[in-house]
Amino acid sequence: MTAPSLVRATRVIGARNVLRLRRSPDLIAVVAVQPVLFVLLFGFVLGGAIQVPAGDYQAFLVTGVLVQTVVFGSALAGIGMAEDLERGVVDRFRSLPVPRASIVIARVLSQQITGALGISVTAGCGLLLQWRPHGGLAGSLAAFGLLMLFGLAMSLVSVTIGCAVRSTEAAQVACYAWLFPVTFVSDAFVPTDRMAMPVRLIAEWNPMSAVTTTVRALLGDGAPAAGGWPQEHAPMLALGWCAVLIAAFLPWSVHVYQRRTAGRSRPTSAGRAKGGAGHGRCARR
Amino acid sequence: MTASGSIVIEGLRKRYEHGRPAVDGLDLVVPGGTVHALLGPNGAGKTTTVRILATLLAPDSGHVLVAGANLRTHPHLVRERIGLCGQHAALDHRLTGRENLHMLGRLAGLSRAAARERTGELAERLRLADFAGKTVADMSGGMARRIDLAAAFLARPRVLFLDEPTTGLDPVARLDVWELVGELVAAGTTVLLTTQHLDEAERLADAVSVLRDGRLIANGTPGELKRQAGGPRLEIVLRHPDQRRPVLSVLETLALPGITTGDRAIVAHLAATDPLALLGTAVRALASAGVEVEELALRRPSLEDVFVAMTSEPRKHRQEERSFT
Repeated sequence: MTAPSLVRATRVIGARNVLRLRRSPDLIAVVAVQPVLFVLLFGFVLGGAIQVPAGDYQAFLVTGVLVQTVVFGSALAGIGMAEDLERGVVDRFRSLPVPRASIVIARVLSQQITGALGISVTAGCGLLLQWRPHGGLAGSLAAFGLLMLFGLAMSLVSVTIGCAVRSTEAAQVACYAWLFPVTFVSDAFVPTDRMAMPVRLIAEWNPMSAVTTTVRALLGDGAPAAGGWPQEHAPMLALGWCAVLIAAFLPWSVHVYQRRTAGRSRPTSAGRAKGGAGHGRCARR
Repeated sequence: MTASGSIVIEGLRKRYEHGRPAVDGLDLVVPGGTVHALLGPNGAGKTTTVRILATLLAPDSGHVLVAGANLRTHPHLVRERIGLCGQHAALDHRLTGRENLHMLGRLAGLSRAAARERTGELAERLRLADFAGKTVADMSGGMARRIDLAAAFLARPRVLFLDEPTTGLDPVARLDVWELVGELVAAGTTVLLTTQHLDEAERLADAVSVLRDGRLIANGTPGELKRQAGGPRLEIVLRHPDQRRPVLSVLETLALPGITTGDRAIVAHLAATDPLALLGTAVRALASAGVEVEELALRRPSLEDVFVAMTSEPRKHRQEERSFT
């Protein structure tokens, strides 16, 4: 019997994360139902009132929802991390002879699988509604690659938050809430050119806008809006943002994770009490 | 397996960021193949000690050997030799018991086939088969705890840490866990358990350490600790409080070492020599005095009495012998 390698430990923990997802109706809702809802809601309710440069709002919308799906999905990485920390699952893993990095790596990689699933559901939903990518196979693959890269970057942000907060409930708010303004103050659903000034500036420089604009170009979904410098340099900006986020949050997430598990402060009584309540919940069933 | 599972702790110290030391110079030796209970009130340092020994927490100072591996220089070796069962069942609630065990077995270093085989073996031996297919969320606390114990035991650890293994369990589930721990020990595993329940320590442990404020204040077998609390006691509960005086005068004629009284209750400490003869004398004297007695019992001091005395009194026990017998 030998201690598992990093690859094996990551695979085992990652497989467990994916299995866990399949058992979780609430998580499936986030990954699979939410994008469909957004496509329908914006496509049929709000879309009629929105003017887009290329004229086809359906195409504009599907790419927006693709990026949004990846971004919202990344919140699950942090929430899952917070839950494992709170429930003592991380402690159990750490008491086993597994390389400790595997816990964080598995969390981010399994999120990538979830992200790919969300992209597929959204694209499938778009295809049903007559949306078609026009950028050829290369364009579609490049768009998929960029979405996955952005998802990875955002998962690292999310894991950092998940390790920093003290409870799963806090993580649900902290990993999610800020994503709403980030997705709406961007050109994911509405072109930025009609936004009022300070908001417009934020939206134009929003990493999400850079990614969305680039994905739109790669999928050939209409000409990009005549915008400022950020729109004209969207591909470079999108890759740059991903690089910056990964460069910042990869080491930061590791740092926060180590700080959290180093046990410098006494375990919170709140966490313990909740663990006890959890038992009660089990017992009542 | 037996001899290599010992735990040696010297001068262990740990202080959290804000506050007094949680573990303050702990020395302890647990011989391989024995069960040792760490007993103490909340905040005594029990869980902190276990978390350090399980490599979850770095100590500030001290020298620790777990199953022959140095905690500071070879933590990965320690992890290969221990099993940990924390205060709450640290299982994935959305996975079944069997899936949890398989995953943890794989992470403990078992091959896929070995993990499957060992999971089946434990499920049968620990009578988990009936519910191992349920998700942990659908289990009772007792079932989850059994799975948790099985998980800690998957890779046949030499040393098993159990942090309050029966907290939050109903009495039946507690008995179940005790039985399980007994089986594990029979296989030669060293067990270090923390508990606030004295009956648990009494039932399971070969030796008991009482902790307070991160220090060891007593150490010995349950029997030795009880002897420290003195001889047997005669406990009398009267029907009428006003009959206390005649009872006390009867007891005084017997020249007992100490008597404490409550409203209706009287506890007389007997010299350990011949408690039965004293009991007979006392009963006859009480009957002839016409006292109405509701309850009368001869009781050895429980570990509870020892515990209460040691953890509530000011620090005079601190100088208590620390030798291990």
